[in-house]
Order: sequence, then C-alpha cells, then structure tokens
Amino acid sequence: MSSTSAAAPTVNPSLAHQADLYLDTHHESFVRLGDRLFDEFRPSGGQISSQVRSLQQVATSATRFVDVEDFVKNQMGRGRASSKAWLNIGEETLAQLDSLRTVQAGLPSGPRGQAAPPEMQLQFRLRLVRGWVRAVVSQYLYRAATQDLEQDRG
Amino acid sequence: VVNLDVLADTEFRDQAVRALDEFIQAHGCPVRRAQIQGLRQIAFNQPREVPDFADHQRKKAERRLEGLNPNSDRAARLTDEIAFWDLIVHLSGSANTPAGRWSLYRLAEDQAPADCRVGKRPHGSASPEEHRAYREARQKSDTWHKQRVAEDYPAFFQRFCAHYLYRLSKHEAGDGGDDL
Repeated sequence: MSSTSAAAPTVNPSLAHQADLYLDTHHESFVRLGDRLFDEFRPSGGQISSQVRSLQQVATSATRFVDVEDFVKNQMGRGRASSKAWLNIGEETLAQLDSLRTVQAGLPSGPRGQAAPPEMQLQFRLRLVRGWVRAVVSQYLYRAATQDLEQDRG
Repeated sequence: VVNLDVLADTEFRDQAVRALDEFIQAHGCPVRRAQIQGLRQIAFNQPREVPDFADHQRKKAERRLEGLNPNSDRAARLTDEIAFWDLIVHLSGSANTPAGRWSLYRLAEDQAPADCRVGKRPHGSASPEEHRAYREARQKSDTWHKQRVAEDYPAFFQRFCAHYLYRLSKHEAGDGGDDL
C-alpha cells in the first residue's frame, strides 16, 4: 500500500552505453538548439540567461523526464515577455525532448529487441536528458565565450 | 507498489496530453490562466478538493450563462468552460465512472492490492465474520484511495496544467493547432 520515488539516478552500464551512443549520434542537432537558445536568451552583463540556467537545473535534478517537458511548456505558457522567446524556441526544444522520450532502452544482456522494465526506462530517459542538456548548454556557453572574446577584441 | 515517478512520467503525462488535445480540438481554450493556476494550487495543497473545486467553477459558469443569448460568443465560451470543468470531474473519476473510461479513480482501483479491493456487500443473513471482513476491506480500500488521491492528483494535474498553458499560449499566438 505504498508508492516509491525513483532511487538515486544510477544507470546500468549497458544502458548508459546505449544512451551515450544515442547522444553522440545526435550531437549536431543539440548543438543547433544550443545556438538557437543563445539567439533567444543572450547573456547580459557577463551573466548567462536565468532561463538557460533554470533549464539546466531542472534537467540535471529531475526525477521524472516529464519535469523537463513541463518546464518548457510552463515557460511557453506564462503569457509574459520571457515566454515570447520560449514561444520561438519551445517547439524545437519539445521536439528534441520527444525524440529522446521515444528512444527505447533495450534490456541489458537480454534478448535483442526486448525492452527494459519501466523503472530502467525512466533512468535511461533521465540519463539521456542530462546528456542532452549538457550538450545544449555547452554550445550556449561556447557562443557566450566567443561573443565575449569578440567584444574584447572589438 | 506503485512507482509514482514512472506513473507521472508515462501514464499521467500521456492521459493528460490526450484528454486536453481532444478537448481543445472540440472546445478551444475556454479557461483563463488564473483559473489553471487555481486548479494547480488546489491539486497541490488540497488534492481531495479538486472535484469540488471543479464543480464549484462549473456552477459559477452555469450561473453566468443564465439569461445570456444562447447564440452569443460569451454563451458559447461559457458552455465550453462548463465542458472543461466536467472534464476535470471525469478525469478525477469516482466509483460511478463507467468501466473503460480512464480516470484517476479507475487507475487507483486497478492498482489496488488484493486486500484493498472490496467485494459485494454481504447479505444481511451472512455470518458476523463475513460482515467484519467486508468492513475491514472497505476501510483498507478507503485508506488506499485517500493515499492515491494525495499522491496522484498533484502529479497528474501538474502535467495537465502545464500542457493546458502550453496549448493556451499557442492558441493566443494564433498557432493553436486546435486541429491537432
């Protein structure tokens, strides 16, 4: 008569490898999203945008993949100035999250094509979304650093 | 044992998105942001009050509808709003929810451990043991449902409200995708 929450976000090494392979294969599209994030949420006064920081924070600490999707939907739906930028970039962000969601983790050392149990799938999705946000925010930070350098030279 | 994180990440998310996409296709987005914030707060702080809150909102909309020209835009919007609060009541569900219709109550029933399931009320002539067993099962079932409401409603309506706000913002931007 009880419920549980996800335990520590550890992923079986085989699933971690599957996730890393996926992230590596799709890195280019994550970089493109990082560029678009930079265009919409420019750093100001040497500070990165609080929106980008929040996205990173949510993706890193979430115990449910859907928390990241909900963060984007909530930001898009706020009806304030900050949501305009999210309206420009939110669909692409949600589309990438949707792609991550549909990646099925295979059962480690099980028969080919057999899906892992739901708890493992959740940990797999969390691993994916953390890798995803790392790639996206890294590109954002790279663009921010490049901009700073150009400004210093200018 | 229910894994709430898995449930919130899969079934709650999918059912909330499905229910709202179907609703918005038929009725648009008749409820304001502030009302959704109210629903979200109630679901978090007093989850058991969600059906009553929805019923109260529904009655308010019905009162405002009285005396309006039924062909007016305002009457149409209020009719859609009434349908929205009906949806909340249906998604919450009750013992009277028709079989086959998804609701949080039905899901809790399906997931109830064997000792939390209530069979038929014993006949008056049944033995005292049968009556006692029935009362105990009833009590366990009530406790189970209270616990599920306390845990499931915040998790479900968080998904539901986020998706509504997202669809509302697209609707306002003229990119409603009401024909999804």
